Amino acid sequence: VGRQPWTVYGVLRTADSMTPFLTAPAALSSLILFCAVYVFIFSFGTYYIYRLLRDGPSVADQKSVVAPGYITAGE
Amino acid sequence: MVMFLVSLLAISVLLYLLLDGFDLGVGMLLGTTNSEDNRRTMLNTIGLVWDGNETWLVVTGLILCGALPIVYATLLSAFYVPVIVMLLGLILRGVSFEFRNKSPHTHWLCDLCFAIGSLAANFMQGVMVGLLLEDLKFIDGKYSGGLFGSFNDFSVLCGVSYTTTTIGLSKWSR
Repeated sequence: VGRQPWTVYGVLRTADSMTPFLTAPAALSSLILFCAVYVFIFSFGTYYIYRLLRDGPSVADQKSVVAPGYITAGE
Repeated sequence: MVMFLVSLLAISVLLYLLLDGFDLGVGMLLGTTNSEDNRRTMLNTIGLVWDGNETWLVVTGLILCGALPIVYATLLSAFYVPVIVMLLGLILRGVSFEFRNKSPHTHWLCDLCFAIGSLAANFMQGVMVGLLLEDLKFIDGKYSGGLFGSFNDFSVLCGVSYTTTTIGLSKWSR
């Protein structure tokens, strides 16, 4: 990679920015954990979007007969 | 200046623990009822405020990273495992909270993730508090407790008592 061996270019080397006691397997397992959680979340997200598209808008939605869910601050 | 930054840090940590402790406690208490109405009421109490409350954690991280980089580097290295588990927990609970409305058939899964995520995040925060109260082992300014050095009798006990306190806080403020 172009920026190697710098973490902050010209200021901090990657070797100096490493966690002192962190082993490669430990770093790898945390990476795998993050990937696993993201795959889990993304697959569900995709599934919900797919279902929304499949069902399409309904008449009931327009009349807002469906009970509203709990309020979220939106995102 | 340092005093000012440290006070700012203390304020944001305190606000985070008080405000989001309430959210996390509600998350854990969600497992205590099976009634959909009760769960919806519980989620409604935090629905509008939980994003805002979690922002105090971001503020804490930002102050550490921007103003006290040495503390940031040292502490986050020392707290490697607890911080990662806490973040995973926060990711899980945040997403399951937003997904719950969209998933009438998988409420149980969302609730499970919400409760587990809340518990993990909360417990790990308690562990970190316990570690801060104790002596952290440093050699030449570097943490030397090892990867799982975060977990000893005292810090785990702190995690448990912090979790119980949080549940109490949510129960009481209801």
